[in-house]
Amino acid sequence: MKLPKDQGSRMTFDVKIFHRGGLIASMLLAVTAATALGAAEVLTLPADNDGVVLRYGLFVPRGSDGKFPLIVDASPVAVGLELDVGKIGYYDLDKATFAVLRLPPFGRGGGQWSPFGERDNLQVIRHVMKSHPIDPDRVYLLGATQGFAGNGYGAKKLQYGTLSLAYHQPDLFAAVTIGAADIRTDAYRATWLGHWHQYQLQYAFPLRLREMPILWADNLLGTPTWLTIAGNGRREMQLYHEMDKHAPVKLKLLLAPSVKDQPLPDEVVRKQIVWLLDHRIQRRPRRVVIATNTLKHSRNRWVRIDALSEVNRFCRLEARLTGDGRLKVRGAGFTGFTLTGLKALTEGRKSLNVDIEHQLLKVTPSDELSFRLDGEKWKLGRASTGEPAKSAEMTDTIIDAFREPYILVPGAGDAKLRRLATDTLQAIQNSGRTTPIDLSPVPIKTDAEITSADMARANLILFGDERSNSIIAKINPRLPIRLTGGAIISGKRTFRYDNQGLMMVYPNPLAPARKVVIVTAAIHEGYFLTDKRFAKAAFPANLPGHGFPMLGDWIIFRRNGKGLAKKGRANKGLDNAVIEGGFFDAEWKLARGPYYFFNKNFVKQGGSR
Amino acid sequence: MRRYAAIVVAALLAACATGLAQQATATNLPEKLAMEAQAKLADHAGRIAKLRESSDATVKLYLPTAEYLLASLRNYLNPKAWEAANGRPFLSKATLARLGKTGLPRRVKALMDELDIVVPALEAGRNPYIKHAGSTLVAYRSPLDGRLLAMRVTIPVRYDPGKRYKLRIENSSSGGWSGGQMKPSWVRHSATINFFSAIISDRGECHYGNDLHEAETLEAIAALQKLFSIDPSRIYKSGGSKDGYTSVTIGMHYPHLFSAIVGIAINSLPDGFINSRNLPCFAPGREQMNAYLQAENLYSLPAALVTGFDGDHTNPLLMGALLEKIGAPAKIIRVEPEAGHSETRWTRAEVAKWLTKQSLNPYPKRVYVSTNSLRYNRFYWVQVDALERQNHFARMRVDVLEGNRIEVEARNVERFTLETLDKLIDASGPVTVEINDIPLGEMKVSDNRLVFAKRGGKWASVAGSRGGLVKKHGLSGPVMDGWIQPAVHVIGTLGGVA
Repeated sequence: MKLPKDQGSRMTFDVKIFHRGGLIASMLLAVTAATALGAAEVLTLPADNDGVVLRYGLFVPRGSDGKFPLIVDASPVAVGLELDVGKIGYYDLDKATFAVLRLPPFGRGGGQWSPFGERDNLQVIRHVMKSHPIDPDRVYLLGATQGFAGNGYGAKKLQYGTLSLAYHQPDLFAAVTIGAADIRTDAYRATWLGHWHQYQLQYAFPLRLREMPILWADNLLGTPTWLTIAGNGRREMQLYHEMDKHAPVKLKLLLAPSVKDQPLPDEVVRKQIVWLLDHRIQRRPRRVVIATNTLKHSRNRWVRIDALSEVNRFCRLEARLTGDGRLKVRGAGFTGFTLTGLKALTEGRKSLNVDIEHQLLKVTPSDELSFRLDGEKWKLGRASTGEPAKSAEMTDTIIDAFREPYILVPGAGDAKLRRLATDTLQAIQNSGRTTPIDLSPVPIKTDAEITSADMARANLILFGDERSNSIIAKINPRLPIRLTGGAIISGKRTFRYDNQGLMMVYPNPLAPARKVVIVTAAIHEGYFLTDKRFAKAAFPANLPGHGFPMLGDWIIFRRNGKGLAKKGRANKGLDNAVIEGGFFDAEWKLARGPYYFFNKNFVKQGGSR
Repeated sequence: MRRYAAIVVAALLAACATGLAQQATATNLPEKLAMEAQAKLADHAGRIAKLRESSDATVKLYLPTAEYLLASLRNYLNPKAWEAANGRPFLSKATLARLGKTGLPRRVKALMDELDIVVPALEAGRNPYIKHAGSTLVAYRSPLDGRLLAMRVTIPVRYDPGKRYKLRIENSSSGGWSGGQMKPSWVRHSATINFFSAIISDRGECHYGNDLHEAETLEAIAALQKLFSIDPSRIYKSGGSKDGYTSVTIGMHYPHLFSAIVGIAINSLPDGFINSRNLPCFAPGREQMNAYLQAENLYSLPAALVTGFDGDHTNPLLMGALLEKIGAPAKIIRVEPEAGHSETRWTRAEVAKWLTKQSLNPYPKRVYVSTNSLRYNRFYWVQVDALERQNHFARMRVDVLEGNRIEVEARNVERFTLETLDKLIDASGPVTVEINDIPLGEMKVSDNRLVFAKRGGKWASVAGSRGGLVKKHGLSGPVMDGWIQPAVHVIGTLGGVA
């Protein structure tokens, strides 16, 4: 099996390629990461978190000394599932003066949903920008109806992927076209999951809010945007209005009532391409807006939010330079922010009046200025935080740890832990997919094999407990939820894990720049993640094609509800599947915050603790 | 002459009632009760006819209730007439089956008893509710279309018109009506509370985006304020499901009228229910149903938004997240996994306690505005007079600052007015105003207001009002506007194809 021809590429990787057809027959191949100029090709790249093969289509024109604009194309309906740019009708590659990157409509392949799509797509885009003559100021996103699948926070409606990539990366694209973008994709999930699953997933509500693009629309206000709404649209017009009323830099609307479940006509897409190419990214606009509920997505051009008033709560920050040289900052929900490149922005002014919600501060513009809320007063400088603290690099959820380089680490002393590790990974990456993903490149090492270099390079997904995994034993005293002699100690509660388990993410105490995920369960009684009833509750991805794991920072679960389920209930067997769950606070401490979940039925029904 | 006419009307009504006694008997009403009710009907019809002649203010105020009760009794005694007028059964077969042998008589007796309370009190020129606390039907005549509409009102124990009382109002969600439009299922029952509570729903269940129900709620509040001693700064709107949505949207449209709102199991985006193939998402008017797009108007209005786990469509967290984004104070936003399409007992008690602590601040220092129609153009002391682009959302944030300063952010607004400025700033001195980051300098307040208009892309303080035929509040469209004001349907008589 040979994937794209080797063109003497600038970068070459050794990866194992998954063989379709159901046989686990991996082959070691040399894969090119670059294309020949003037030819459209389908290429591959190993994902830098776990080595899984990513495919993409690329066309770069030949015959120019300069750099090319790049159109990132994410339009599966318009072109089927074809990755080959040369087969897309609205491109005339013979005359094209721009490069085209075709993102895979189904992400890693095999299924529809993935928590890794946005990560994968970003890696591919950045790789192409780095390895080819691409003008970084002229990168565009073309997401016609049903953009592309398998994106960051997953959704049935694939166009959401286009939208989320755009608003999570506001300073990557010079202009975007988005077709038929739904504004609250969680509706699809909820409809399919049913009531009981929502109950079990209460702790995951901040993640559901992250799936609602309308809450993030502010981030697109500085990016020229062309929205297309088809005749069978439901709520897309609201996205237009939400953006329109907040003064977007450029917002174009195309209503296509005669288009229903069909691609836009080629001539319309060609017009969109011409429109896109007319823009160049503004790195230093006079106005920047950020809306977020996670520090992971907290930067837009020259503004960065450093601290949220409350973890998982939405905030909005608008910074704008007025005509008379003041800098106004308006908004709520944040307690710290940084402005970068003010010197250039203020064109060499010696002093600047900063008005933060009507509180005036006179500052000297510099390359980086931070502000913090001290009580009710804004002051210069960053707030000192305890260690560890949530930050842009060290925040978010269990699944996030899998989006970065990771190593599965079962304890060496128990052979079943290895099975638990692979089952866990499959549950997260693979469940419900019609064609499984090849996970063979994912590194697995025992606790004894892990070196300090491994810890510095990758997140450790630790399986077992303090008795079976030496790394867990080392870090256990420093964890907010501890494991002691077969029990999980969560604050004042103690859970025996003969039939209960724990998953949590935490900064690695032995390598603070990386994370650990701890997976502890009743390993001697079976593998909880393969228990269908639990899987349905905690891993919606296990419902074929309908989701991906919604895991906060930690959950304590019961292997199944055996013996606790009420007779005659439709959800029999799911009772108490998730007992507790939630998010750690800004300093990674156990918090009973607004999204903390505790299953009262568990106690009512006499569950063991 | 008038007295003579009244006697003739009463006699006609009595004759009509007697003649229809047999028909009433046919609807399972015992003959003895039917005869008694007919006599009572005739008696009260005559007495109410006389009361119509009265010029006493108290009588005029409460007479609609007597009329409503009388009409309801008449309907129960003469269902055929009702059916002939309405083209459907007065009571369905299922209802009749459910009522059994005792249900119908109980309803008729309840109406007779209530007439015996209301009519004599009015004849004595007294407020009929002072000595009769509890829950009952109270009616008013709609200024919109002249219909008699009933509300279910709970009157506080030892009601004293000399004191001011809180008012908590609800509309009906799916199902029951207050007075069932003159076929009430029950009239009076005891209830002991120390504030007024009212359920306003005689036009039927409130539905998403139904302007008429919003109009009904507003006119009912106005009627209640005339009928009873209500504290205008302590009016609370609450409701669940569709009424939860109504509670939130009426709060968004008229935040300055309410002390707080409570929405249980509400829907941020009910337009998602509309069959998109029949009504595309860009159909005009859909945005007006979108609570999310207008949620910023709740900034200064205390609001409790609670949802259970009964489905995505009732999830108010979307609005909650938006309110978090703008730092809106005084909000309870909660998910209750153990509540289905309602709230838990615990939350009900907590919200009730919280609610009583809220009072209306008509002059908040910060006002948010989000509207795409001049129908909804007044938000506390900020009034949108003209939109730049019709049916597009206008957004404003107006801050009153120390030092007699006002800062305005305005988008898609062409003209606006800041009212009652004497309550917010020193209106006698110069005021500094900044709009969209451009200082307009110092200016003088006239008649406690400042009016601004955008001309040639620049904002300026202006005087006077707009002339000519322009869209304005009360004349803004869309079509439905024609029905939420008094309307006469005029049938052409010239003939022709139409």
